[in-house]
Amino acid sequence: MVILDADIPEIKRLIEEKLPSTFTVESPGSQGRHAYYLCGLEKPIRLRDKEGENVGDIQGTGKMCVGPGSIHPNGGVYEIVADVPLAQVTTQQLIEALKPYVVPEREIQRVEETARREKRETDIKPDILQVVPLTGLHKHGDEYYGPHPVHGSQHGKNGKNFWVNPAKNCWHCFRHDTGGGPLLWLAVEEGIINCSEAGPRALRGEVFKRVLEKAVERGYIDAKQVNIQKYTRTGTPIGNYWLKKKHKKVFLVDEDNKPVLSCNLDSVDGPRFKKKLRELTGLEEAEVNRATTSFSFAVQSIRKSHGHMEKNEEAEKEEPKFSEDVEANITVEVERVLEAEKQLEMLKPHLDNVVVGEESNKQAIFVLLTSGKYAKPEMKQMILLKGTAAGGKSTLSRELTRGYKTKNVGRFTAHALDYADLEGSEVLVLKELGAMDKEDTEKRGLSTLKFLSSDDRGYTVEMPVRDEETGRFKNTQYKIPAITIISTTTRLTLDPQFERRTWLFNVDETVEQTKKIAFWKAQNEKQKTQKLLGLRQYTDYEFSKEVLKRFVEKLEPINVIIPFPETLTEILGYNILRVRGDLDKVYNFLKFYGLFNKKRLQQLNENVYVLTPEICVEAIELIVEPLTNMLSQMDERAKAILEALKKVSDVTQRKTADGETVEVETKYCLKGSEITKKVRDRITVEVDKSERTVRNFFNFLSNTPFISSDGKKPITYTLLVDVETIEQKLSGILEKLKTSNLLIPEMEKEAQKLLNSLLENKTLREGYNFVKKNVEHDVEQHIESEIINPYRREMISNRQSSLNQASLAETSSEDWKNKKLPIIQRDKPKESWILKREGNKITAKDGNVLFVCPLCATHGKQLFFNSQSDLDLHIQGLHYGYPIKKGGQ
Amino acid sequence: MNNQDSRKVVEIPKSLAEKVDPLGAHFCLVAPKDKNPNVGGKGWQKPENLMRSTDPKLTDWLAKAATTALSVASDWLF
Repeated sequence: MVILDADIPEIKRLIEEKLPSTFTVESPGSQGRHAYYLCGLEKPIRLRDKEGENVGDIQGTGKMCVGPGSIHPNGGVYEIVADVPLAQVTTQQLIEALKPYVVPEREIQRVEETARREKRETDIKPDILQVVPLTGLHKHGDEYYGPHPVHGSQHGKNGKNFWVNPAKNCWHCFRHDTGGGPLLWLAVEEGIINCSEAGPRALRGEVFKRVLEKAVERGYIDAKQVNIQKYTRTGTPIGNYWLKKKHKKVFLVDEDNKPVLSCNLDSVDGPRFKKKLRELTGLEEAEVNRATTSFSFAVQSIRKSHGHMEKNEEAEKEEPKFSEDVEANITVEVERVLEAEKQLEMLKPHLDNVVVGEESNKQAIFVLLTSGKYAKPEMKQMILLKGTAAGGKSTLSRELTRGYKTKNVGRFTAHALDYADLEGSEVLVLKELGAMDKEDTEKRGLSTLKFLSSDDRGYTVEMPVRDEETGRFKNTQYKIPAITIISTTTRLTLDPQFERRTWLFNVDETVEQTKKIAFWKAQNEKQKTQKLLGLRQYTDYEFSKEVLKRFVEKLEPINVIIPFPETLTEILGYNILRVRGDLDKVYNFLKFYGLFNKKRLQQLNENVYVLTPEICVEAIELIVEPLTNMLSQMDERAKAILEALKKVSDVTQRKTADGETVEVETKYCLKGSEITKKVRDRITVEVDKSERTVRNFFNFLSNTPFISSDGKKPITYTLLVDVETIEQKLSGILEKLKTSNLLIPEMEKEAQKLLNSLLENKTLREGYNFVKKNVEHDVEQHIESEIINPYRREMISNRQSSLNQASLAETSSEDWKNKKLPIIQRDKPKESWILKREGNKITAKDGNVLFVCPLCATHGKQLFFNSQSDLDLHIQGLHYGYPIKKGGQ
Repeated sequence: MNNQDSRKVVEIPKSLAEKVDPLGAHFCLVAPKDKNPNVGGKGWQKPENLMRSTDPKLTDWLAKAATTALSVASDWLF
């Protein structure tokens, strides 16, 4: 349930016009209205007018509101003005209806992030309530609101343009859309900056120094604990000294700002300067290295940012400025796509206009890139485009990442890994990965990168860094935060650890593709000419590029449930999956694909949707090729090499026992065949690749059970199985994937079973007779006796709803996807209530004990019981008893 | 706006209780002539301060305090 508090007549009018009629109460204070709705609102929504004054809000879970019948401080009574049932609405409906007044979520997030950043970067933590004067502010739930203490409000004392959230230690000015943490407030209050300037990067240099001085003056922070110079001095700290740049020289200055050492800017990373630094500062080698690296990086970033700004400005100049009617066309087109049931199908003409050919590849990559929009680290995907140089990899990556916040990295270096700010980016575009599989790092230099492991928090990569003392490279490990990565490579084989985690796409390098590109370029050139002559306003490419960009910007992630995981695993093949990660990748792809088919999915609640088998099959069709490559560790070029191996043969003359000479054909694709350098050379000619590429492929295969090698130079490989066996394995996977539609009935069956079990976790299943018989009695008893036990109330709540809900067990398999399913409610107790967990047993702080069903937990649901016997009954009834452990058999 | 007699006994409208009770909503005490829900100390969200519409503690409060108010609290149960 949520309550919309409307303080002004305009909002009341919007409620009446745009939202369904619902139970409404009028407040005697400002004649404001409280409209009650059924809605799964996740976060409160604030409403403000053009002047930045708060004019209402929408509050839900965990909040309170004065109800009808209550007496207002002015003596008036809160009256019911519409005594009708509560209307069901979605969050989107509420936002759409009140759009002109809704404070964008991103603005609130920016303010909160500014406060968090202040805390993170300064490590100085005054309390917001200590700094902001509360006089004149009113308490609203856990927050404070009122007129801005510095610039005030248009409504004087009754103004509401300023909010303080003690829980998040931040303040927010609605008039200027600004806010942040306590130090930023101090800067505004002391007049060091204007309220309109209070943004994420306001606390810097001299401003920061003055704010800190004020904070010390007011006693918010202890001068002894805070070295103001540490925070405000320019340059890079190194022990008790600072490295400073002046023109083309670098100076080491002491605490009194006196230079004690200097060198040329280019020599700051040199061994001589570092040695002197070590002697002067008395620091360890590693600390000196870190300081000089940090200093060099800072200098480089300043240079880069200048270059970058120039580039951006140029790019902005190049961007076509659309006229108003073209803008309107673009908006209409984006809306049309967003409203469509099959969004990807609607986007296809636009994708065709920006990327020629690459039919399924571009769609699949476009879908996978949406992982950049998801906050959960485990949703992030790595995409690798493989192909020869100038094969169109970079075009694919550039055109499809438009609209995302991208970080473009030419190559990873130690500096970049140390300081690249990847956290604000949605997609990391990594150009040409380099030889990730090579151990001979000395030859490869800084571009060599090896992925060691990944977890939910990010990836660990290994990088060779030159040791200044010895001049040799040594490996250093770095951590990259979890981020969607798209990269390209010309290498045939890569670090297997990395390949396992990536989606491999082979770009189309056929002659037909080249022809398509040539034709597209000609068309585009023609349209450009027409545009130049004023015969058209934009080229198809420009239009589609803009549509895709704006579509991506409007994409909002949703939660998609896959209700047929077992059948899906069957399709993908239990035995072929190498690592569990493969299956996770496929699950995630299906979820992203669901986002493009949101309107065709079954909605369970506000933000949870269920995938249908048809959509699943469509999605699998799109990724058949990369899946085959992924599951078999082969790519298209590898297949070409195997094909060439089949063609290569030698004809030799032999004498039979009768003394006749016969011609014998020797094939190299059979079991036991030896693939010597000569054979490889012939394959090289056949596939038109370098001998090294072919050798690398066989090297790679020698790690599988298909091929062995003698390890000599030149190396000879021996086929342990014939080539056809290898190919059959490939085609077997392909066949299974292509006929996945045959398993639709299976998926439907599994989906129905799973959904029913999920729903019954909240209701009660039919076979659960013991409890059902006593339900009515139980309900009353518990209301009377255990009202203060939150866990007990939850059980009552479940049981009550079960009385009113028909069991869904009879739902036919044809019906499940069409049936409007009831909302699955959350039933997890607050973490703050829990004292300890021991297996299935949860002990609350108030001494209550709960038992959680371990089998429901495997489906991602939590159902709580008051006793072990209740839990046993549930398991017997719903899960048909405890599963037998394999080890016990 | 009704300027009610300050001695009027506050009652929870039946239609409100009928609508919000099945949803798991709870009521908490609000100080007389105020909107502050923290009656008798902090923590209106604590389970001991959240009540059903029929809770004797709530009805007693409404009857005794005369000028009190009530709150609809949407808690974590739904």
